[in-house]
Amino acid sequence: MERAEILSLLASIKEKIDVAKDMKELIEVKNSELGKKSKFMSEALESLNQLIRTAPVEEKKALGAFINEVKNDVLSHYENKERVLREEQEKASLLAEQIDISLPGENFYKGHKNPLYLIRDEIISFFTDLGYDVYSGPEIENDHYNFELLNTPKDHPARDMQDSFYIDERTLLRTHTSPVQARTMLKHPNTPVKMIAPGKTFRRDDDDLTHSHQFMQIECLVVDEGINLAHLKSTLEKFMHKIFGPKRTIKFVPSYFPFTEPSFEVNVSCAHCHGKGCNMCKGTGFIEVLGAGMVHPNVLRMCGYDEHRFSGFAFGVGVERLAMLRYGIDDIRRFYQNDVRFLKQFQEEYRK
Amino acid sequence: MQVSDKLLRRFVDLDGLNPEDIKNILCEGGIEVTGYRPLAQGDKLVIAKILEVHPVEGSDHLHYLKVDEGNKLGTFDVVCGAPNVRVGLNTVVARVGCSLKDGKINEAKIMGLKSFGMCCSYKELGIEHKYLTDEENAGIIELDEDAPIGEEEVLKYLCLDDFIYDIELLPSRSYCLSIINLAKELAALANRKIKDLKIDDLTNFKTDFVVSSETDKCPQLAIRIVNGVKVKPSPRELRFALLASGYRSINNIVDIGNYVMLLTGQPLHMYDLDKLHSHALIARDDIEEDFVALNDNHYEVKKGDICITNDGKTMCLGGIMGAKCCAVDEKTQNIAIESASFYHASIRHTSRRLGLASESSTRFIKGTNHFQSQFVLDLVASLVQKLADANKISNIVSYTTEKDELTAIDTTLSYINNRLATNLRLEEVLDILKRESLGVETEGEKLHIEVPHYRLDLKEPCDISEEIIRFVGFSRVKEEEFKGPERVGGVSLEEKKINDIRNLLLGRGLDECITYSLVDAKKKDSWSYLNDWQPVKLLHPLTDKHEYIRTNVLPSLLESASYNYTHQNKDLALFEVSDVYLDENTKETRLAVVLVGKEELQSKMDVRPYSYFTVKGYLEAILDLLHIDSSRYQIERLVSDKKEFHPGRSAAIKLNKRLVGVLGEMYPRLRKDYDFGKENIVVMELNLSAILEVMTSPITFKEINKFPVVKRDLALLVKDDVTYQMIKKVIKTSGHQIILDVEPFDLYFGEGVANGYHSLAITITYGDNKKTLVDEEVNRVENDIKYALRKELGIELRG
Repeated sequence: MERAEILSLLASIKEKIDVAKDMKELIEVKNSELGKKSKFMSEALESLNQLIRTAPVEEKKALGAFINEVKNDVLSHYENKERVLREEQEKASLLAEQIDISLPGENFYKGHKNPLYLIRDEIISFFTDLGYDVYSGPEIENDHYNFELLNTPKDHPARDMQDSFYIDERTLLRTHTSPVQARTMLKHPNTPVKMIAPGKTFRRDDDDLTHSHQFMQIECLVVDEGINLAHLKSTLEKFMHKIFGPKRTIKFVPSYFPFTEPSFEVNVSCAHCHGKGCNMCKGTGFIEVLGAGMVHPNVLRMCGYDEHRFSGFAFGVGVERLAMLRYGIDDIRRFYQNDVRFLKQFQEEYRK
Repeated sequence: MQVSDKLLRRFVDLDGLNPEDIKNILCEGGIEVTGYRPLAQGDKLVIAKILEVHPVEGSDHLHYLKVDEGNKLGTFDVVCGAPNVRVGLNTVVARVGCSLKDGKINEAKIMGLKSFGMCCSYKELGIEHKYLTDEENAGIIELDEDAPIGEEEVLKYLCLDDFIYDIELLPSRSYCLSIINLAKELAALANRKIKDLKIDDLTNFKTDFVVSSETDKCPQLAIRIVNGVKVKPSPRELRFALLASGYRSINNIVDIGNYVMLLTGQPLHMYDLDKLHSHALIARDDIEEDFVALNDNHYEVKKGDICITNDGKTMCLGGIMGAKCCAVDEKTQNIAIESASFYHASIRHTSRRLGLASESSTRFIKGTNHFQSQFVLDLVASLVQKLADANKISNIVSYTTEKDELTAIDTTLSYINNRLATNLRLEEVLDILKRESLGVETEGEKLHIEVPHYRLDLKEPCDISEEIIRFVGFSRVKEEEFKGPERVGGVSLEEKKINDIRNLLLGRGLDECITYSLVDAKKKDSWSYLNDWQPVKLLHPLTDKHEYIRTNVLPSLLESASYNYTHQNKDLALFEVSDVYLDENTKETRLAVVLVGKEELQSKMDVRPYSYFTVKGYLEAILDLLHIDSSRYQIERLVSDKKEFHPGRSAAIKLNKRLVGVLGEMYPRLRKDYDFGKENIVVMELNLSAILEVMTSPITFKEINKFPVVKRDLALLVKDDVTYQMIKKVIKTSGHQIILDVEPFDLYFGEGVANGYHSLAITITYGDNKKTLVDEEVNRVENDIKYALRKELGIELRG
């Protein structure tokens, strides 16, 4: 065959490769045009090979190069086409595996804490960040710690404020977390204290919308030299802003607890009306949140402290009340019912 | 307590202040006024005389009246249904346009007759049923014959022009249980003037009556004799002043006693003098007898109770209630009036023991002024003379061991300012103390304060600081950032571990619950595997639902699960960490888990029913979290007679030979007790305290094996009573160091496997950290394993 003829054959094979629509057609082209018996292989290349055998030495090299060029040209053309077709085929078969990406993912949802634990844990981390220790005390308490060391001797009228579940004459379910104050101080007399004590507490109340015979309280106690009312105020402001947000204002109203003097009831401006007065806050603009005060010198003295050198502040807060106010929960019994439709509504809020 | 605005104004100048102002002043001062309301209501009222009464045709009770409303207003027709209408009766008419508690009065047509107004009963003016007599409840108001016809300020005429404050007193303000003291308080807070009460000494004879006390629980006892009293209804003014204070009028003598108690805070007792055997009353605390009180009930008086006795018999259970035998009645003419002081704790004790509380006992328990009997008995004398026509009033005979000394408090201005973080000047502090009627002497910044007897709350310097901040208000407290002692705070190690376990379970999708620690008898006895202690019982439970302090958590958590299940929450994974108390001093922290139904792996598209292996997985994860290696604990089949756990699908975990937990599926028949239907229930309870006690060794890095490991599978034909744990133990103890791990990968029983057998496929990993293993070595070890399994457990190799 002449060179020109070979080149034209080459062009026609390349065209056939180009028009192959899929691998099947391409392989047909390969078998018919590039197989051993094909015109290209048997006639064109064979004629060139014969030519090279008879050609003079000086032409052999150029001729060899030509053969290679022709061969490589068609083969690489084929390979390119094959790669393109295989990629198309792969894509098509992957697309056939398409899924509905809108279906739900595999379940990796976190469970939900009871909102009481949610708030309790938030308060604990707030105070531990400020360097407070966290203590707990027994729920079955001795009258001595629950009342007497807290300046509430037997037959003190304040005992009627919190009717208690007694187990025997001297033993009861603690009515507040305040006994942890006494227990902590007695362990290390005349040493500065900075602590909180969360825990379960019990009072002889019938359960209704706002009362619960069991509830969770967090006690806070700071004792050092020179502790004053301003320290209590700034601590409570920070704490209340953490729980209810920075926009709330805080009001202190004189109150009474046997173990603090002076004592205060701490009120936070109503979230609903922002202090203007509405049904939520019974028109007062403020909602009672917790009890606080300066530790009574009798308590310091009974717990082994020099009451002339040391002073302290303390407060106790009901976790149910905080949770009810923060989330707008209307029935305290819900916390203990554990309806998962209730539990699943609460999670970390990641507020600043 | 209820406080009458009118009474308050009698003792303090409150001109220009309305009830809202007064409420705010008291609240700011720490006396919580929860609200106020008018005693009675009605604007367009008039006093009228009934001129004519005609029956209304077709009605059995209505009358058609002509009433005279005075010269200014004239005569009107009124239809009235009251039974007590009669010609000449003076009554109160609500005119057209009048707003009453229950609505507005309009011109009306009743059975064809026009009516211009309504004759009123007290109820229509807003007085509660319980304060009225039967006649007053049934009919319209009956006024005296000389009532001013045409008078339009009717509420004032009736002494009903009053406001009632509802006050919740803190224990420290118990002295305000006296109107006079509350008035002083208000005068100090509002900086107003006190109106002093001047009472003359009305003594006109000397009595032979004697009093004394043989117990220090009654340190003071005073008596005044009044002769010739006439027991009769109280005048309207006294009656409605009591009503505004929440007291029902009985008769003039009882009412005077209550009224004086309201004003002074001192409970009184009145004896019918002629019913006493002798003219002597002695306070004693050594009496034992059956006491019949004024309320007709019998009480067992015991030694220690304070008794006011006459000839050895109890005439009054001191401070609580008088005896029936010497009570004042309608025929009483001569009375002995007692004003005494009692030890508060003793009254509290007796009152609680007998379940008998009275207005007196609550006041004595809260504390009374021991130094005002003279004033109190003078006040009583003036009232009985005025309102009960008493003609003979005796001197006061009294017994007292109380020394008339004022409590003194020494403090300094700097103590006050340091404690309160204020910058108060001496003059400001002195002004407040003087307004409070406290006696003050100063020397430089030193304050010597004398406290009047009625201020039972003031004892120490810190009490003075409280008075000051109450008056100046919190705005005077400085802004001062608090840092406190520098230290690293934090929770205990145990608490930290518990939090990590909680977070592990939360991360696995379990919801965290909190249930009551007080349980009923049924809960106390169920699911108690971790201990056999009898739960602590409350002395006086409120209800049998909360009678015992729980010793385990599962029963309560199951109750929560059951509540959910019956409220449309069918698939549940719940846990609770809680302390339980095995006795007064033994606390254990427990973890309980309850699983119901199935776990969603991908929404409802892929679910897996909860099983024994789910909780076992939680258990293994918790132990792994705490670095407790599986070699340190044993999981054994739970053997129990109780039909709570599924006998074939439950286990006990032992740590250091101690039982620390139970887990498994619920006994199927028990499900219906919790309304769980046919759902499989899986539960676990762990004694976390015991688990957390186990200390973990520090972590040290071990070189990673550089040589390849060899994994070989074995298919074993195992008798059903041979456990995986036994197989693993035989393999691991076959003595070859190169056995690194054993893992099961398939469990099969059924076709092709003989009954009583199952097929278990395991992978054994071999390795040596010093060299590459050769096949011959592995083969040798594998043969040893096969031999040991066959010999020790009768296991055949399959395939």
